[in-house]
Amino acid sequence: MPSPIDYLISAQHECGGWGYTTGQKPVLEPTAAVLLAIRNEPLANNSFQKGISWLLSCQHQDGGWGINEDDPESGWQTAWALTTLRYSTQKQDSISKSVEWLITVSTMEITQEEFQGKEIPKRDNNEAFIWPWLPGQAGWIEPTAMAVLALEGITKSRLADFRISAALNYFRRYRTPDGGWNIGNANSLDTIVVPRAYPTALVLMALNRIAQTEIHATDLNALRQDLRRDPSTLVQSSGILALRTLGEDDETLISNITERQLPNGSWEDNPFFTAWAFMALRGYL
Amino acid sequence: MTRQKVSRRTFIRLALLGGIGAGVAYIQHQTAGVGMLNIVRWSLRGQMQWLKPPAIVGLGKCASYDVDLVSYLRELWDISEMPDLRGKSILVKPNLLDEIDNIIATTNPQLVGAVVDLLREMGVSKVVVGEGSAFRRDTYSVVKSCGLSQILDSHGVPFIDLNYDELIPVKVRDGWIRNTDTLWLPRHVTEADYIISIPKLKAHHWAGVTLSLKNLLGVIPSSRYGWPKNIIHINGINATILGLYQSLPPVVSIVDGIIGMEGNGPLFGKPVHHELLAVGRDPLAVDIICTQLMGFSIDSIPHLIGAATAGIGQAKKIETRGIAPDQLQKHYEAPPTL
Repeated sequence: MPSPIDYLISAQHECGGWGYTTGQKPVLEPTAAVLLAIRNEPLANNSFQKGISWLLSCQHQDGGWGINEDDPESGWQTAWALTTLRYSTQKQDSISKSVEWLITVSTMEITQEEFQGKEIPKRDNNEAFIWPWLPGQAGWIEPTAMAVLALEGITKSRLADFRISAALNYFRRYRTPDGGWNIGNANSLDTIVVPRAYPTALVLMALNRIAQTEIHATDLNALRQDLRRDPSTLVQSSGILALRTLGEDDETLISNITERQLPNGSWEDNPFFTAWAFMALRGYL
Repeated sequence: MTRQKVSRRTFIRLALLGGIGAGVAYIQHQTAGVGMLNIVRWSLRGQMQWLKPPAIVGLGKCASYDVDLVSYLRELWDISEMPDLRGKSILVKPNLLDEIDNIIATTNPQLVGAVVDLLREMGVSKVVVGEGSAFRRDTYSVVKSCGLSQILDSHGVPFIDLNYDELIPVKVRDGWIRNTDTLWLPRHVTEADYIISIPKLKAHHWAGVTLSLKNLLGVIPSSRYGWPKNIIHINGINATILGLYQSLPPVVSIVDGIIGMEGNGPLFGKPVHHELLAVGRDPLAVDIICTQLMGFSIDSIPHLIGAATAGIGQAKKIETRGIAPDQLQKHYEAPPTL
């Protein structure tokens, strides 16, 4: 097997970040994904440190991150950055600031100021507490799952616990009848939506951290079914990773993704996809 | 001290001024979200369309995707007085929203291939096909499952997942996008000389119809705004369509109405064998004609009414060429929300 590490190191920008595609200016999400993929690789230690430095240089005053170093607005990418920084022993203040941003990020119904108050805001609507893509917006499956993965176990905040339990309720309520999740609603005007592998994989990994008993066999079936339909390297990798996290290795899927690796060590000559495939084969996010 | 008497005439004048002032204050209050100046500007520009030449929309009747689509398109292009694209860089934007088993919700791949052939015949300098799926993390999943990947491979045309393209901040115009003066757009969008919007003719449960203008929402990068193009949930779908359109390079339209979708579109509707192809250099005019050919009133489609009122395209004077509209008229089942 050619080394994905060599490819990833060669695709790194001088500043330390990676783009979604080869040569593209550094972007937060692929940089975080690559750093998570290479974090335990001694050969990539320098590359990892450079990447962490770039990540830290992009952090906003408010503790969050945008899509790249030019984006002034903090958003969903903060969960990716925090998940990555958890594996860096440096810069605890950066971690603390990003935890604070993530647990107080505003939703459509609750402002950041309310979240920053002494008491947890009171709302009857559980969805008022779940995570949006961008501040002040409605919550969705993916940013919520990523926020849970980023925050779980890193803080003793009551608010964080409360929002994570709201996320759990949300995952319960937005599960499609056949198991698994789509990007948001489980139905559209009374039509049941198709569960998709990528959001399902993220939710399963989040549930594995916070409530393993909430994972149903139907969720795994839905995941496997969509993996049979969707050939995307990104989707396949996320599905394999979720299954492996749950101790459900699927040798056929692993074999299929392995066969797709290019001679230069990459998948599709794409740092983001390569990071995901590498994580899938390593079995950790 | 003597009390000054207000004459009847003065009283009427003051009352009139007061009434006008109250009216202006009321309008200002009611339009605070967008600003009265914008509304005045939009209205004036809308009325100015009466002074401009008519928009031309070419209509064709095409029974199937298994015919010489390039010939159909060439003829429609010629009669519709389309722009000269020689030497231009073109982004072809089909609708690849999502792919669900047994549901035809995407622009037909054969038609996309035919558009590419036509563009090359015209001598464009560069053509790429791009889309950013609203529902899939990897748009290529849709490209593959709908059969477009084979067509693109055989034509040697690159596909760009616009959700992951390099992003360029673009100043928004005209007040449609609230709370920001910048939209982040994909480089392949901002650097194109023209965008060719190739929507699938569909009813849409939220926007009423999804045609050339609505199809453009696919260029909004989800990597910045979230899936499914979450800015539309905050800014409103109709205002976002209009604000986005005004931030883009020139857009021309080729509508895939050979098989349309009625009812619960854009994903769960039923197919309609409409046999329609529509071409035009004014997306608003094309969308108005197509909406009427679906049997809907444009009064029920807010983004078309908004665009028409604000003069974002020609809605006052539209001339159709090619097949007569009455030969293409259908009566689509309306989406549940229309």
